[in-house]
Amino acid sequence: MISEFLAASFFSVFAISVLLCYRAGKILNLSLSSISTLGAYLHFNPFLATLLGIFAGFLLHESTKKLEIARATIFSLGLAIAIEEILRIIFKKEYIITHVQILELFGENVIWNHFIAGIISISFLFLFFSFLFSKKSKTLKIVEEDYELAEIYGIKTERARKIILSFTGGLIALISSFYNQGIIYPTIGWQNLIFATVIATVANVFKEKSYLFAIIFAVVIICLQKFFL
Amino acid sequence: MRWFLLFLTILAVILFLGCTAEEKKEVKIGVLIPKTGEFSSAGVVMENAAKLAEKHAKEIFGINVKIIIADCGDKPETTKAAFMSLSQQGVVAVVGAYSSPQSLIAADTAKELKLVYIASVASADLEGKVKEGNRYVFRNAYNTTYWGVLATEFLEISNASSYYLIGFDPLRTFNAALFNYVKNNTKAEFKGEAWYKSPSIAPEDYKKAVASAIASGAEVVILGDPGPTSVSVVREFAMRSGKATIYSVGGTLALPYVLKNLSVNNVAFQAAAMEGQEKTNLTKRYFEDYRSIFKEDANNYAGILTYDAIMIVAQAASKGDPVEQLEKGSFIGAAGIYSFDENHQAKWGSEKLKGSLGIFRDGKIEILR
Repeated sequence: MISEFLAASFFSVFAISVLLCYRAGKILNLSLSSISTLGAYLHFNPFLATLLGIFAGFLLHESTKKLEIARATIFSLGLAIAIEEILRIIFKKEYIITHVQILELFGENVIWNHFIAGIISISFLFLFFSFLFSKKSKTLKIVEEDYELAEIYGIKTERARKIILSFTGGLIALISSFYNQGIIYPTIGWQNLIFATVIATVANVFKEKSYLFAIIFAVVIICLQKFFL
Repeated sequence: MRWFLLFLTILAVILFLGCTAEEKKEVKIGVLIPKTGEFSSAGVVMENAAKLAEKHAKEIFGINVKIIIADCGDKPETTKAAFMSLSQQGVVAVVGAYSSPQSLIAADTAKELKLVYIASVASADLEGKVKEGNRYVFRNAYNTTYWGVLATEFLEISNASSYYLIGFDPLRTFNAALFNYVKNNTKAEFKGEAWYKSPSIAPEDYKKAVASAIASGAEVVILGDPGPTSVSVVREFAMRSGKATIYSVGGTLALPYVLKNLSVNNVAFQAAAMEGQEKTNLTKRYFEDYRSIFKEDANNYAGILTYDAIMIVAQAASKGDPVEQLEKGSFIGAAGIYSFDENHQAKWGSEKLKGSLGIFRDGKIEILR
């Protein structure tokens, strides 16, 4: 059950990142797939993975800040393909197999790297919800509502968008550099993104509570898979 | 004057030789490679193998092959578009594509365009297409029956008294047919079966299948997933201290570097050919040159069969009409000597063309057959 809990925390963070980009960044950020793959390939240096993830997010913001949501989303797909192709050129191999260390936790064997990814994810969730329940979260809510309204309130929306896209890029690269271990291949990040987007889409229906519901859905779906499907 | 005549004679000889070299016909072969989408990992090795085949066809057979690659993605519609674009570039035949739906649409397009298509990976029912009158489709890969034959042979070789089946849901048609063959043709006891979904839909689903397989107590677990999730299955199996031998249909788990890095004992697999075997004079060169050029172990199913498909077309096209030649001739490939039956299926299981079985034990790969 611990490994399912770790998986749920990883996918919660992924889904929240998708939601943040969509609700506050006004983009369905498809490049998170390849940023996740990038993190996996750079597992030997999570710091570098994070930096490059931040850079990819920043690049996405700069290239799409003047575009409407549909065009920005298409651009993010192009960026995803570009990152994937660069990884193919650099790493060449069809698959990279990485050594995984097993950790015994309460009688259950857990992959050490999944445990680290889980710890980072849970830490992020804790910090994020601390922020959401604080007064400062009003800024985020206004940005999510309407950019023009936010500008009237004196919020620099472009700066907020830049921070969100760069931060989520760095975060996804970091947790993926730990979570996507064992076997790495160029399309590994798409699997994460598709599953996270399913969770994010359902959670988005709940508007202001969407972030909380992203966690609930991730836990419920993964538990359902274990016991019923 | 004498020197001038000598000069003219030498010039004429040079020009003549030049002309014959020029006239040496270029054989253009289209290759459908899944460069994008779900099967893009396999696409990398298929592309590498295709480039190697182009080189070897010139060096070994003296046939001036030019391959033209088109991205067929992972869907039938993208495959059809890629096939059409290849046909407009004057290719004599098209080979490749990965999944069964892709190969089925490629077969229909081949008939429509009257252009030979050789399916080099997929196991869909292409024989049915031939029976319906499509003369243009051939397959040098196994059909589903032969996948079952190899799995059943492995159960016999390993003297297994029981077995369990783990299927991969996105490949349900292929896996179900393979499993049915095994169930109907082995004396070993069937202990049950489980299926897992694509990791895109259910990332942790394979763990449940592994738990059921271990609980069944079967001696051999037959795993129908040729993709990268199969590595996670084997690792989960080892983490849960599973004792059974895992027999994989190949793909990712048939790659020597994957098995060595994974380092889990008793993982058996099938392959069209394995390094260390000399099925023909091309086998050794395929494995050696692949490693020296692409700096990794050669793929021994999707890669080698794409390589062979190009070699087959090159040999057939250099002799005359490709359809006629393919129907009556035999052709050297790295996995064996190919000839096709009345349904245009390569005669796998014949004396000159047999699949291989291997097992990873104690840090090395043993060839079982």
